Amino acid sequence: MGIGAAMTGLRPIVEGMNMGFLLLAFNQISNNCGMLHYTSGGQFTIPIVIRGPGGVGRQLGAEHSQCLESYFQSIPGIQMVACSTPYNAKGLMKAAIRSENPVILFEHVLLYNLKERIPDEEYICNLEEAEMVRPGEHVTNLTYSRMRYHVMQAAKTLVNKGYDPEVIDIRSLKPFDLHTIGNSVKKTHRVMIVEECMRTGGIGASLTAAITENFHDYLDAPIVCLSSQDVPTPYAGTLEEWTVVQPAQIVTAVEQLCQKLQ
Amino acid sequence: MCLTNLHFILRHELLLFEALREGLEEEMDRDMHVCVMGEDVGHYGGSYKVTKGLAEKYGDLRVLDTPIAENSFTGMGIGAAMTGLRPIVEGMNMGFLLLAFNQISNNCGMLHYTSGGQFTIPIVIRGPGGVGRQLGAEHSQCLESYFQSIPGIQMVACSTPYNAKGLMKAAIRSENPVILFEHVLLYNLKERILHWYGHWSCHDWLEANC
Repeated sequence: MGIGAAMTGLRPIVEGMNMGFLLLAFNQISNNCGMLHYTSGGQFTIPIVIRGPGGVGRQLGAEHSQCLESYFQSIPGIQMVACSTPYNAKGLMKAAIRSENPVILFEHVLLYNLKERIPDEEYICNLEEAEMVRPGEHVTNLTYSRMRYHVMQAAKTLVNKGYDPEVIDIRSLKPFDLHTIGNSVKKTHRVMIVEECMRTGGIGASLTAAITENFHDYLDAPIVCLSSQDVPTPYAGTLEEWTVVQPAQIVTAVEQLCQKLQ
Repeated sequence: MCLTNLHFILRHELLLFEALREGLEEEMDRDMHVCVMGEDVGHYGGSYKVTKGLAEKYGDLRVLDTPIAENSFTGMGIGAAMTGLRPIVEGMNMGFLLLAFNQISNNCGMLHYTSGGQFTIPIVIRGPGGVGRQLGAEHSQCLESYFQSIPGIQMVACSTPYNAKGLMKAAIRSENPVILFEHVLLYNLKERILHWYGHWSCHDWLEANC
């Protein structure tokens, strides 16, 4: 209904009560939402926003703790962004609504209660732009959504240990902001990706491929990708914690990555 | 008789869709739990004739014509697999399985885990995919990437009559849910393959090939 409404000129925002429920709408998202602009020979645009809470929460069980970025990733004609702060949540929401493309906006269940001061005046974010969270020299940490906070937590420890990690919230999951990412790679020559997505066929895998294809010559070490385990998220709290990447793992991985070069 | 001649006699020539059918038939003969379900798989024999004649041989229940309701019959297949059958679910076109995405991800891949290992889901989901000849956007999709990161699911793609039959049989015998990708433009490939009605497993296939 939302896609049809978009075809006739409205700009609907469709909320999946939980991102996982959108698997039931997969056919509409892939076969209509992504394709119609093409199959109509450009006669229709589909300025729809599909959004909802996703990611691994706290013991919500396998069906309600899914990272669907990877499932939607290769659907042609669809753009994807993930918000991570109140500031970019508002900016990306507004940009997604104004975009002529269908945009999937990923929100994270555990980030809804984050508090931040944002500007009173109107602003929008760029849908295709990554956000520099912490400039640094030693290693490029690419992350998005909730894992940004795990990375920042790890960064604190790393700074105390004498490392200077650069942290980038990629925000735009499709297409990637290869300009910002590339500049960072050329500076640090080491890349680590931290995501909550599955290891097989996830955002990290695509990002690894994109960086290798474009910036291989600038890399001094193989790209390290920390992802969730390839299993449905367990309900048990301790197992759930083991499934997603924890700050301590990030610290160890950065140390190993940097040591290889010294 | 020299060994080379023997080797030759043990082979017969067939098309890829016939190889898939032969694999299905042999497994249905071997194990009464193996059954097929999907749109037009029964009396019509499948849109690409992979199940041709199987309904006549094994009856309507083992080769079940379903309504056009992908999510429902895929779910039915998964339920059947939980109770001990080994269903092969055919998507008339792989693209139609997007309608069954919820069942494939939330049930097929997860149930073994969410049941704490109490259930295995020995289902095979298969169908014609890939870019054909001017079939249009909806019928020319490569869905490998969509299914790739679903936890708990195994994926294989066949490309010759020989491996089509071998992989089909291995997929049916596997305790894991397996998605078998076939390509619309390869169904009429012709090849001589082994004429052997014995046991055929992934291990045999590997030994024969590697």
